[in-house]
Amino acid sequence: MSKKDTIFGALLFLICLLLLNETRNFYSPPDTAAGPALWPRIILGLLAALSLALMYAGYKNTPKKQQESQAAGAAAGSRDSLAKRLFGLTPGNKRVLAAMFATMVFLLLFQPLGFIISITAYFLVVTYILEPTKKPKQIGLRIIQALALTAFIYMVFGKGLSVRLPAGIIPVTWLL
Amino acid sequence: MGFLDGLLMVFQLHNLVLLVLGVILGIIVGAIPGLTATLAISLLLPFTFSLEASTALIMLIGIYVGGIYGGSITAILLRTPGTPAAAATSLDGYPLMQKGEGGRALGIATSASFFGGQISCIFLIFLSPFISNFAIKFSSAEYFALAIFGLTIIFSVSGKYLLKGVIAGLIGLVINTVGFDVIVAYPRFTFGIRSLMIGFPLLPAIIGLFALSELLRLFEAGVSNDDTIHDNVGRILPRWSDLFHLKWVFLKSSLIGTFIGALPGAGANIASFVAYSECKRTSKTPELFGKGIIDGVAAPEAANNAVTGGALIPMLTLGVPGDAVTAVLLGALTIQGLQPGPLLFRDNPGIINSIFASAIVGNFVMLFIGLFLAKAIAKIAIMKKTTLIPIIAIFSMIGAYAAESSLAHMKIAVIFGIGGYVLEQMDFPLAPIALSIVLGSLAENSFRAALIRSSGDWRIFFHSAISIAFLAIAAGSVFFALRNQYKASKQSSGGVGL
Repeated sequence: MSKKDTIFGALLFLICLLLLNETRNFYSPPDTAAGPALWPRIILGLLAALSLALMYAGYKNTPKKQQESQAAGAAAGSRDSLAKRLFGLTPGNKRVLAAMFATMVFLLLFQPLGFIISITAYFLVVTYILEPTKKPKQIGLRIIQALALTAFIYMVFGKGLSVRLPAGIIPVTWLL
Repeated sequence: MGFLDGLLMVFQLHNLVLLVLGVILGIIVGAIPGLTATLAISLLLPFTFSLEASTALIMLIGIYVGGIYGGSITAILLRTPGTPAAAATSLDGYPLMQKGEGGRALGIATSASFFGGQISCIFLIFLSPFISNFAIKFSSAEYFALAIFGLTIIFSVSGKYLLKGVIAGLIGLVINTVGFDVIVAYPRFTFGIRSLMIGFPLLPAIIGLFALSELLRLFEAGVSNDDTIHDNVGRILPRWSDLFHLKWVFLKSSLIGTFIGALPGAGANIASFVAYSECKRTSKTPELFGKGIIDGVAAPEAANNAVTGGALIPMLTLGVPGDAVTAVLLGALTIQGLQPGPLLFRDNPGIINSIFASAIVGNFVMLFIGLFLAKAIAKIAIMKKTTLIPIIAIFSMIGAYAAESSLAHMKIAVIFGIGGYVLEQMDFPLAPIALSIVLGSLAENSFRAALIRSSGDWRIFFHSAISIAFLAIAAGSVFFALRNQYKASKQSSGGVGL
């Protein structure tokens, strides 16, 4: 955890430097006491200083914390720690990564495929990530739930709030 | 007369329906373990866009009131507080449930929440005009001092990770500088990306930070569906004898909650535990606390709902949110094109009166729903997570998309969600980011306006007593937070506190 803090602090410090450099390009009207660069420079200066403090704090706390986590890992011997040792990921981490990936794909396909296909598919994928199943009855139930949710989204957002939901590859006339 | 106008507005059929709907939705989301009142408001914010400002705020106040109360239902019936604010309620609520007196505990919790909410509304209605009349005379230098005072709330909402909380707050302030600068209209940190010209829109940022990041945490936790509601809940309607016995507990806890709610940085979570401890300390039977005593349910519930009215006082009168929930509510006002603070009282008295009236009526609605539908709501709250999580994820993303039918907004929500989750995994609190995003514009604009007015003379921030007072309080709270952090890190291991 503390090692992560050191890395994060270093990354943040670099970003601050880059953004501070960017403020040099900001236009500042003549005779203005407070141009557009002043406030960001103050904030970024403070953030850069605190990033260094975070790096230092992380560095100072690392050895003890690492010992603790190694000891805890050896004592636990659970499936989680085995998975962690083999792949560096717990089942929870894997679910999160899978959900993030599914969400990225959803963002990419939302407009080209349209809301009906993308919402239905996203629901099915995400429920599978949470609770994998091969039982036809359960899959059927989830398909019904996904379609009902899509219809509900259409009624609430599309009809109720007049949001322009992308029709995608399904002709718009089908929805009218 | 003004308040009566507000009441008349709330009792218009469409407003009343939306208030009731808001309270119900708030209670349901609040009752679902893991989902907070902040998430409830963030999630339901998109539904208020197409509504008139007053109608939208009436609904949002309903969600707020219901969201804070809802946590108590599952705290009592399942020993799983729906919100952190209801954690203290489960200490005695669940033992009462085990004794077969779950209904009695629910009835007391509902009555206490109602009482606390109403007491705090009375303070809200009578104190707010005085504070706003005082604040209306503020100049830009005083507004800057006020914003700095507001930003020091970060020190109190950061918990034990002070350094990380302050870093999170500064990240929020940097995020806030992206886009057109208000004074000379120069695009900052846009790197040629057109959609960044107007900066990061508030709604997708809030949905991402508080809804999507929370969902990722739920993904990590996985699903377990072993929660069941027992049928031996019993009668929920409270007995007069219980209410009479608890009258001083109700009053004292309501006052504690209102006071703590009005303090920046101290929210419902703190209020409920303070009220619980105070009730136990002054009780004639302190040994019964934790074993199932109705006083232990009444105190935290009166206090956490009293926070609602108390927290609205600085938010409405000064434009300073006290915690994450009020930061989101403040964002909702901004999204509706309203500027929270003293000018809101001068320019939009109708909105203010409808907020006051909706808080009062919302508490009545909450009382009714709590007494008659609590068990049904608890059954909804333990709905299978496998179904619930995807539904919330889809609603969050479509909600972010809905305001402007913009895919870019949906992407922003996802980026903030993933960013928020990663930061939380590294023990960075998220509330400071929201507070900074909301208060950042006020701080920067008043800072620069004051400097331009004084031709760059920084002494302008120390010219007025009000400005000095705000800055002194801000400096004091920073000092005490640092001192406490230093003491805590010295006590623990001698390591450097983060």
